[in-house]
Amino acid sequence: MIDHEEIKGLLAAYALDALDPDEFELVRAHLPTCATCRRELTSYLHLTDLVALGAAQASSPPSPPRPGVEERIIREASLMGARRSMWIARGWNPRRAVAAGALIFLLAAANVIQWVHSPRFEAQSRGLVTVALTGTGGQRDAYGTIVVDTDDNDGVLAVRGLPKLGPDLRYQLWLKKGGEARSGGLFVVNDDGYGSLLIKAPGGFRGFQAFSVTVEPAEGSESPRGASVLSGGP
Amino acid sequence: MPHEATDDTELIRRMARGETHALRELYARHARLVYGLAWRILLDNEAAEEICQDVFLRAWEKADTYRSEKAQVRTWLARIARNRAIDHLRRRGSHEARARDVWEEMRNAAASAHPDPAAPVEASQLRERVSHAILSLPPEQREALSRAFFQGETHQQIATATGEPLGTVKSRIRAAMLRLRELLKDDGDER
Repeated sequence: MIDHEEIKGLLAAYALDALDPDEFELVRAHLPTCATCRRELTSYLHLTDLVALGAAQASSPPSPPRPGVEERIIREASLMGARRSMWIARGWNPRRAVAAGALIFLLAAANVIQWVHSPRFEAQSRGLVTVALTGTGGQRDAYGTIVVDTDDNDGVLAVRGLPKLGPDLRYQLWLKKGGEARSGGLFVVNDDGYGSLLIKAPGGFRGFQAFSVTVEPAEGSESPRGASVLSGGP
Repeated sequence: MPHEATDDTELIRRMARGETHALRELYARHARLVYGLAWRILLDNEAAEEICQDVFLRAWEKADTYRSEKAQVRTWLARIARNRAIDHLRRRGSHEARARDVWEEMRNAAASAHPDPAAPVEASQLRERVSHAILSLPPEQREALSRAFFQGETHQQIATATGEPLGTVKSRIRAAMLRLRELLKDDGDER
C-alpha cells in the first residue's frame, strides 16, 4: 500500500527529476489517482521553472553561440516543414474529401487531431475504422483512439491522459488476434500527457480483434509484459 | 513582416503555421538565455550549442502544443533547455567530482559583468529574487539542490557523492524546495 504522506514528501524531488527509479515509479503510479498530489506537484513544477529561468538569466557563458547554430536551426526547421508538405501532397484524394472532413471533425472533437501530422489516413475514407481505447489499471482517466485503414497498412494511435514515463520505459502498442500479440510500436507522451504513433502493419489490419498499450522497457518487449494502461477493440 | 511589436506567444503561433522567420525572431530573443542555461549545466560550449539547437527545433516541432496559460514562452524554453541539458549530462555519464556552488559562481560572474541594458527590468528582478532566495538557503541545502538541478543527480547519487545518509539528502532537497516555494510564492511567471 502506498503511503500518501511518503509520496507527498517525494513530489519536490519528482519535479526536479531527482528521484531514483523505484521512487519515480511510485510517484508516477500515484499521481493519476490523486488530485491533491497533482496540485502539489504543479506548484513544485512552477518553482522548478522559476529556478530554471533565474539560472538562465544569471548565466554568463564566456561566448555566445556561434552564428552557424542559428542557420542550422532554420535549415532543419525548413526541412521539417518540407517533409510535412510532402506527406500532404502524397495522400490527398479530393474524391473522398467529404467523408474525410466528417472524420476530421470527430477527431478534432476528441482533441486527437492537434498532434496527428500525417493526413494520409484522413483522405482515405473507404476501409477506415476507428477504435476507442479506454484506461485500465491505474489509468482510468486515460483514453486513446486508433484510426486504421483496413485496406492499407497504415494507422495512427493518439492517446491522452497517460503519465510521462522515466527514461528507461516506453509505452508499447499491441495488435492482438488469435491469442497472439504483435507490437505496433513504441511511443512516449509529452508533458501534457499527449502521445501519438504512426502504425505500420505489413500484412494489413484486417483480422485484429483487440488493441492494448502496456508499459515496457525502452527497447520494447517481444510480448506484453508490463502493466496494461489502455485497451479496446473494434 | 515586422516583428518588433510581436509578442512571444504570437511568434509561437506563427511557428505553428510554419513561418521560419518567426523562429528566427524567437531565436534572436532567447538564444542567449537558452544557451546560457545549457552552458551553466554542461560547462562545454559545443555541447551547449547542441542543446540550444535541440531546444529551438523542439519549440518549432511542438509549437502547436504550446499553451500560453501554462507558462510564458521563455519559461517553456528554459524548462526544455534544462531537461535536455540534464539528459545530455546523464548520457555523457560524468559528474563533477566536487560540489559546485553554482549559485555563488553565477553571483560572482554577474558582479563582474556589465549590466545588459537590453535586458527587460522584470527579467533582472526575477533573476535577483531567485538568486537571493537560493543564496539564503543553508549551504547543505543549496548544495543538494545544485546537484539535483544543475548536475541531474538523484537522491542516491547525491548521498554517495557527499557521503551523507540518503534520508538526510531527501530531507534537505525537500526543505530547500519548501523554503523556495515560500520565498517565491508571489512570483507568478505563469499566467
